[in-house]
Amino acid sequence: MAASESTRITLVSNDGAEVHVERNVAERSMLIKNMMEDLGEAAMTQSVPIPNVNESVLKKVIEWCEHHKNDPPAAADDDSDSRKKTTDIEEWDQKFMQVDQEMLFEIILASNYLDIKPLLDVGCKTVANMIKGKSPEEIRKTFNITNDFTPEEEEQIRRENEWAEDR
Amino acid sequence: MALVERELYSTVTLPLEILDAICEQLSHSDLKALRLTSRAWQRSAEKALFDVIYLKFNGASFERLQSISDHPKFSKLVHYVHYDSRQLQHAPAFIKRSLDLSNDQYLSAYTHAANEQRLAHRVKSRLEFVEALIQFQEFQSNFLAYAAAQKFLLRDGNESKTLRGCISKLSNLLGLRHSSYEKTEPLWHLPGFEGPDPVSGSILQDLSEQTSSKAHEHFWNLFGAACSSGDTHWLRELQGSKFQLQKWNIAAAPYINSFGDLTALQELNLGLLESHDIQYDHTILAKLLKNVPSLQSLQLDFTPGYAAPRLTLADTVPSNPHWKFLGRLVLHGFETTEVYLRKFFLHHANTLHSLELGNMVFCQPDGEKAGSWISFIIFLNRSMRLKHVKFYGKLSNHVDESWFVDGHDSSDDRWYFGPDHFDCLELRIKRFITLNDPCPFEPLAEDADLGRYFNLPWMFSIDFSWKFQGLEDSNDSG
Repeated sequence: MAASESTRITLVSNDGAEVHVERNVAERSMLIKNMMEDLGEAAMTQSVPIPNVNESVLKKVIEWCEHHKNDPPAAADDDSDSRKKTTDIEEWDQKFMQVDQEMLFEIILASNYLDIKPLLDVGCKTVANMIKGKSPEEIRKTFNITNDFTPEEEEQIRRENEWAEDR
Repeated sequence: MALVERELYSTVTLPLEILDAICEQLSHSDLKALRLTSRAWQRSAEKALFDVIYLKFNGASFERLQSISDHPKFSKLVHYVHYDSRQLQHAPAFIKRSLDLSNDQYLSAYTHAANEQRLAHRVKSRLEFVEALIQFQEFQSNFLAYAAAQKFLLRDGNESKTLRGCISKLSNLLGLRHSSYEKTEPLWHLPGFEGPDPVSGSILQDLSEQTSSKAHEHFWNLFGAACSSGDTHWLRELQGSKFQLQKWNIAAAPYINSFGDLTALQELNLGLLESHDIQYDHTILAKLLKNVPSLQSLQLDFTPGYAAPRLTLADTVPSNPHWKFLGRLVLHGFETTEVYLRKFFLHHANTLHSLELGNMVFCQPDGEKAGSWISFIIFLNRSMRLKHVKFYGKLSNHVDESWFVDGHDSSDDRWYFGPDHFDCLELRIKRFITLNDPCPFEPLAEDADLGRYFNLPWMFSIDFSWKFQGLEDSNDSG
């Protein structure tokens, strides 16, 4: 326990909340990992500001990092067919992402800022899965998007879409 | 307030690079829908939609390529052209027969065709039959137009000319991919034709699965079109498969001098086959491989016919390789000495991190010791720093080793093999090579019973994933 305590660091969210976390968990974030390396010993005594992320989102991101702290490093991109599109998401991550859209986008933004690529991938795949198989109108409704095209522009886009064949 | 919040957290507030990442996960049909939703999504959806152009060997598809290449914005978004060159080999006989028939005769011919296809029972009533007939007549007209456009492309170098004109305008093109076999859209998806009736649907389904016997010519025509745009220094990726080696060699002749311009090629993926037991000519392939110094990923897949030999690695891949950046290698259907393969790997030990070997044979030069897959696996552990390794199919040495490897994908492991599969020999070998886990093969003591281990001087336990096969069929193609 003492050893564990000694590796805990303190992150401070943009709304001033302190979040205590194991260093190896926090270092799933490449941004934090690099900051730790830059700070050296001081990293263990100073709190680390995370100015772009609020407390609730930071805690949610840390929850993901905690669950995935023992994941092996990502395989090289070209180990298999890297062009194969897959939006498969493992079960735990699917449940983790069952949040409202506000939180979903905040997690995506936070993982982008904190440089946690696997979490960013899960976030993007979640959004992609919400788009799949839907009509333009259904997508607009899902994400509350306002159609800002004129009917003429829409017609032009439809014509251009015909040029791009499906595989 | 609620409205403001919803707007605040809508997808349009995500930065462009995230919208791009989301779009990368989507199919063309989803991207087309997304592109229509709003200006905020339009740019990212377009970027992903026009990244790869799927070109098919028909008039309408070539016209679409021309529209894209003439467009000031879209022409710059294209990075890859994927060319599916399957073509109609023969029109269905009853289409040809029916051209000059009266309606009654047509009906009769159609009934005959339906009976031939044993699908008459699916056409239930006369009304349904007539509706199908009307639709079929419309289809027939489209079919003939489709075939005529293909004939036009085959005449007078029209395919090459059109490809040249288009590719020269795709200023950010990086790669050419050719396929002639993968099943894509059914051929009945023609302009103005909603869907086939059961008979023509069945016939066309068969047609749609035909491979193009001229695939090699279409591949080199595409390559030639890229070369004609000045040089091919920009080309990063070249892919093609299902080519008959001998025909592929002959069709390559006009383009050999352009190989010298492939200095930037990073990814080469070629699938060749040969159904006849002939003296293989490696010259073109070897010359191509000598001219690609920037190669990072090489996949060579050779499928010999039954009882035909594999390609010889030493005749194909340069004896003194110069690929300073080679990170990924996939070899399938080659024979080589173990010494040559080790030498080749040692040349690339600093960069090679991903390896797949399938249907490979260690041949035994006169007077030399036969290669051993077990000793080669130990070599990979000791001398290479691989992060990914996969074996599949037959691995033999024609003397005392003949293994058959399942080569399953790890993503399917749990479903396919149950919870104990993590201890199977294949995965233990993989972990030995990539993670330096304990070696699954232990040397046998001199007085040990060799018979227990197929007369090999190693102690090991085989299982479903990595089987020992008899050597009596070791000369077949695997």
